[in-house]
Amino acid sequence: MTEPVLEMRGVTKRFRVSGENSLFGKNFAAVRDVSIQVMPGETFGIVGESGCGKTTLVRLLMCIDRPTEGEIRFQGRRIDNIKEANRRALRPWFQMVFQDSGSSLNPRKRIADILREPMLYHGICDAASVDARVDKLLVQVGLTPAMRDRYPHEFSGGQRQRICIARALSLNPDVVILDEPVSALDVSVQAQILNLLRDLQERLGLTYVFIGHGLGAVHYMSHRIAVMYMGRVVEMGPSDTLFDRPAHPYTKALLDAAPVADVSLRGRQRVQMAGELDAQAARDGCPLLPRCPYARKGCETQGLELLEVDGRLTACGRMLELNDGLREER
Amino acid sequence: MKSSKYRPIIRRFCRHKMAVFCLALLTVLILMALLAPVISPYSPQKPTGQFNQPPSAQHILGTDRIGRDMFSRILYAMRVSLLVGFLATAISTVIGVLLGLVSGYFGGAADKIIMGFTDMVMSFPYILLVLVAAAIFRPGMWSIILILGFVDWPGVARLVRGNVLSLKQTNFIKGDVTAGMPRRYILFSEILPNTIAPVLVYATSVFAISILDEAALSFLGMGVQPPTPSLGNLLNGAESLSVLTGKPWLWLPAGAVIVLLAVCINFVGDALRDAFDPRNS
Repeated sequence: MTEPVLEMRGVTKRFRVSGENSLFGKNFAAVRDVSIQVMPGETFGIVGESGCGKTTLVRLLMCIDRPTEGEIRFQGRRIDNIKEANRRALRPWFQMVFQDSGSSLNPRKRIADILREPMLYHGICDAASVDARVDKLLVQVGLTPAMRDRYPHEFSGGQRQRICIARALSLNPDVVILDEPVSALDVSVQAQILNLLRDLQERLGLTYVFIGHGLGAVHYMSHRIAVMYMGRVVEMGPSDTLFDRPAHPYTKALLDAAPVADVSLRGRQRVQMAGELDAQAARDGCPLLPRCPYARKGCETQGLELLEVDGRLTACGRMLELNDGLREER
Repeated sequence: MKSSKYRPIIRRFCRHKMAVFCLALLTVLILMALLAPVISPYSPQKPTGQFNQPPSAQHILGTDRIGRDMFSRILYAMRVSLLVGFLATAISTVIGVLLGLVSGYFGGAADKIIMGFTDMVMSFPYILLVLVAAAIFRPGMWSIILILGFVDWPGVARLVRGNVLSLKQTNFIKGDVTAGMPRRYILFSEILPNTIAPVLVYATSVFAISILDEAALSFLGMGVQPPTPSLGNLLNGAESLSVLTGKPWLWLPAGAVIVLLAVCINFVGDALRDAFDPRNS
């Protein structure tokens, strides 16, 4: 069996929140007991609404924050407890593309300089060959070498995101973390960027961690998906399985929240979540309990452990049970 | 390559007609100051024997009460005032930028200490601080430069700190961190160039203010000491009512030069701010 390229084992990250009622503030866990394995060459999608811990998870993966508990491994080696200097040496293997391409590029530097400097620092190429490599990167992301002397503000949002991708690729990374790379773009441009990313993955054998809140893009990109809710992974499995047969009510609600172009599906039965996510509420049972339309007795004490159900890991199998029930009735 | 990098900046600067005019005027004034030994018709120190002369063909700005040529004295006074303004600005800008960078980038205890100190310096009445310092140290050109330099930095420090704080949140700095770039690269190649423009604009106003402060201090007798002329101690003569009303050639030109310098520098500073912003295509 192949080794996971990136692995989290029981990772929890707590922050101190200055509380109103306690002198020392209280601990707030932004990420709770998350275990994921990212296999080489795959795209691992992470979805969830805002406040679910996606950003913290990214910061942990990028070694910007250290986990409170648990361990993170990159190619089998622990990376959560290594020294800052070693961490810096490790960073080129991990690269990141951010959501807002507007602030991802230094407005005072030409594209060629933005791409050139990290490569020279890390010794990816020498001063003589760096220009050729810059041109090659630009072509690789669908731009032309003639654009190398322009400034970031002379490009459109989509073009800027291409430059960000080129910058991420310039250090020959193994893993690229895509933090909502298309959320800020036009729908037509979104598709172009997603196709470019898939194309590059195929050609360069990259591993992606794709973060998003819209299921459409995540489903299109990912081989496997983890759905996060309040810092926990509530369902994780192959992309199509989760899409066609969600087991967790929350996954179903996320799917139903996405608009569908098909008019005939307009009247379909949807799962809707009541209220908003209260990230600070701490409880022992299912984190979704106060919002879940299918809550029943016993939910207060279960729904934390991931169990293998129908080819995926899930904290709750309610949706599958309900579907089975419907089928029997018919 | 180099010239093409600056061409758009120059083009944007040239759109400000007033600033271009002011820059030309400033250049002429600075050249006159630099070339003072060549163009001044008389020595600024030696009496010519003609006292209290109004402007004439011989002495285009007249002579003072001990017979020195006022035009020559103004040329030399401009040298002193510009030097004081420039060096004081350079000192305060360097101090302010360094403290602001450290404070904003490293944060934590360093930030608290530096900003606490900055607030302390800022909370002193400025002119009083300068006066007391001028009284403690022997008044003179170099002590004026140092005093103004060490008093003017808090504004720059705060400006730079604020800029660094907002730049730290941008994705391109985060991208540098994820690309494993070293701290010196992030500080000096990414953050510093993005703060240069506001600092430069601020520095121009500090330059103008320093010239005015030198004039104020010298006017009060705490600045550049006679017989060395400075624009401030030339105004000193206007303390007497008879000079103020009867002999305007002794103070009007010096005052006019101060106003011209301050106004021109500020206009140029404003145009620079727009010129440095590449988004103002």
